[in-house]
Amino acid sequence: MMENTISINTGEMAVAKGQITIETSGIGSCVFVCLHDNINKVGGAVHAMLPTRVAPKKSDTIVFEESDGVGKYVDEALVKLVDDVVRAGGKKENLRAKIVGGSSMFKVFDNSKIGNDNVKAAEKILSLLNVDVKAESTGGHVGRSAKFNIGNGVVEVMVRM
Amino acid sequence: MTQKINDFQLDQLKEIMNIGASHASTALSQMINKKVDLSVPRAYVDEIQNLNKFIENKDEEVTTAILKIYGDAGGVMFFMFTSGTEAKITNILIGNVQNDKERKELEISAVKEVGNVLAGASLAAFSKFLDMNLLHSVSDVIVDTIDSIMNSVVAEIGKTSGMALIFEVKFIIKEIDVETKFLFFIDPGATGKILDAIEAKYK
Repeated sequence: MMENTISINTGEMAVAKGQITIETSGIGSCVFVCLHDNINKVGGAVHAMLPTRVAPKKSDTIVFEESDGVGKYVDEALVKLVDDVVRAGGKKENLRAKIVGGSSMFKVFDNSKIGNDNVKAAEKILSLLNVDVKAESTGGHVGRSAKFNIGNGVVEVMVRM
Repeated sequence: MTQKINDFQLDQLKEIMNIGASHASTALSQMINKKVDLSVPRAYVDEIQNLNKFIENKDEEVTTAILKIYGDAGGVMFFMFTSGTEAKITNILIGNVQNDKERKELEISAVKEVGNVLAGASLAAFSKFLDMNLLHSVSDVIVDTIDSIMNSVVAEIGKTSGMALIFEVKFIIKEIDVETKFLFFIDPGATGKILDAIEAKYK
């Protein structure tokens, strides 16, 4: 059981074929987007943190060097993920997406609504890529963890109570 | 221009954290009338997607008071109580409450208040030492797993910067076997200002 499980952290993505589960935890305002081709039993998932890449402000800031971190941003990650799933043997027209996460965790940050922005960004980019969103477990004020079974496409979502 | 924060600067920031954290721990000690020990500050200075390496016991459920810091330097402050410890603190502050529903509410309220007092104490120390004007928001309490909370805060920071600067100090209350965590996320934009303030002080 365990050897068939891939665990991904924030900002990471994974693509797999066959009886494999991709799992992640700590989905707060982040989104976990799963793509699945049910005919070829290929799928991939990403745990992305932000809707899109923003250039760091140039001010009196200490600017840090940044590596590409492609899994961090919903838009970049999904473009790459669709590509990778197709390369792994999936057919683009078979792909169905499931979105998990995007909650708004803190009242003190209420004006920012990153979680909501993440879900919107994922829906937007998936519609641009012509991938249907089959199911969503998003919003609210709770953290989630999820398991995505590539064998049958089922996504199990655990919500902290 | 890209510039990495150097070890000397990091040490300076850790020292500032020490000052803030020790004031907060003194406030906590007075509040609950118990001895509070402090750990050495642990720092995280890295790209935000590597945060998982920094988080210990990520699946653990914690009751966290979270406050936003405004003023001359921005950031976010956390006081994390692992499951069960908030009950011990509440017992000391309010006394034993039998009614379950009422107790949960009182625990949240106690953690909120502890957050307020400790943040006030540490910010006063920061303000005085750095000669900066710092304010905190009302405290918000959430109960969730450590990694959900941390990832969500870092996402907020990630809107403007690819890097995060986090300091963690543990407060250990041996007498009642409680360990809480004090975390301070410094707005990367504020790092330069804080270092400048330290430099100005010792010029």
